[in-house]
Amino acid sequence: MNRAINAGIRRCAVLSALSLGGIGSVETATAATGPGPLPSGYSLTRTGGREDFDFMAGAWTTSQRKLKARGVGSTEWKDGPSNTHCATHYLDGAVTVDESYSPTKTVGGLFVYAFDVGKHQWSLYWIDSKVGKLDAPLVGGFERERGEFYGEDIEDGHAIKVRYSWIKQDHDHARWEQAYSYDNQSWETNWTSDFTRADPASTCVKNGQSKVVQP
Amino acid sequence: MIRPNRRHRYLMLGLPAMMAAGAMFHGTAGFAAQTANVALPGYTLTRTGSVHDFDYFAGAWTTRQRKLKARGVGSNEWENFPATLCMTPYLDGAATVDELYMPTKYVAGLTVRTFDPHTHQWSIYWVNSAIGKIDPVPEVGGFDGSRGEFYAQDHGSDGRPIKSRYLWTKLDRDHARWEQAISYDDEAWETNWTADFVRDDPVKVCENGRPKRSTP
Repeated sequence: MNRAINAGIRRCAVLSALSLGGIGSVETATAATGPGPLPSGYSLTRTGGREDFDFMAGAWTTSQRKLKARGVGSTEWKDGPSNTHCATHYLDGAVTVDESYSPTKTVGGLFVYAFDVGKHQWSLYWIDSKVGKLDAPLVGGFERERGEFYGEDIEDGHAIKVRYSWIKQDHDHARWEQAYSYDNQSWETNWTSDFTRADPASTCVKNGQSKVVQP
Repeated sequence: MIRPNRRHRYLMLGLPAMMAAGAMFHGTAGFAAQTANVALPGYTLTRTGSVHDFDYFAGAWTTRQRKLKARGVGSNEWENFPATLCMTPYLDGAATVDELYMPTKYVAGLTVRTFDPHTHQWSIYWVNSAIGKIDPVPEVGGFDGSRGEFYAQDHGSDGRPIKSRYLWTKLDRDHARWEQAISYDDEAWETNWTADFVRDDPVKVCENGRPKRSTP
């Protein structure tokens, strides 16, 4: 799920919050998209509930698959490392902080999810330990078991649309997917991660320091 | 753009004084002040620090908060209230998250700090529990010895440009002081919020990394 690790880091992608549904794109100062179509489902107004990420609290291990080459119509996938995640709630669930590490602990990052109480919308931030800054967030929320979060990014100098999909399968299983749109029409899923709940006591301890996790 | 979710958004700014100052020093566009400020003491967006700057701050703290009742109007009336804080380091200290619980204010706040290993700068982000949004403009800077300074250029609740500063002073292992100041005129700082920190017992103060919701 550490998408920034091989995805090209999200750089200065400013959400064009005013270009809703393709209307008013005139005011989109940063996006190279201009007026025109948007990939299916793309929205910066999707909302959710404050409890959307309650299920995340605790420890997880992941099984990842990544598309070998992006944006070229490839269908070859490779297995990614089984990362661990330890998630903690703050501010009574309005913020979830999820720390992720690769098995060798050489690559890590922090997801910060913040729920905008006024808009009823989640903003998903990613902090790469090698960058140390907050990127522009993806925004959205859950409708029942399915969460969708959208935003813009830049990959290799080109403006793209980004989608995270979350599917809560049961108490102990969830699935995350990342998709990019290069043409504002279609999505290419390039990264999936199956989450399985793990034991916080054995998973969320590092450097001899007990990690703080919800029971 | 008005972002009301920073700590210094709690109070409306003192408009008459500010408008006068704004007219004098900013003229047309506030953003011009980014390069033009030579007079504001200490202000810089290039101050650096170390990834270990906030190591000492991990754990539990009880605090005494003092907040200026009215900002930007030359007021000298302060209010006092208690708060507890629990801080957890992430990414081996390159990011920290702490929650500040202000029981008598019925509000809590979250501070996210991230260290950029390339610029050697900390960025400090604030989230008010009543709003739930991360302010996109962080305070940036770092520690030099026991003194940390962090600055931002931002906008007040009326849209006018301001500059803000966090000061951290490590007094000893178990004591620290934080101060927030805002400049409305690019000349002087007005300190409007201070907090004195005393280290406390995480078992007593914190639960799952957050301040316990006990009565003050």
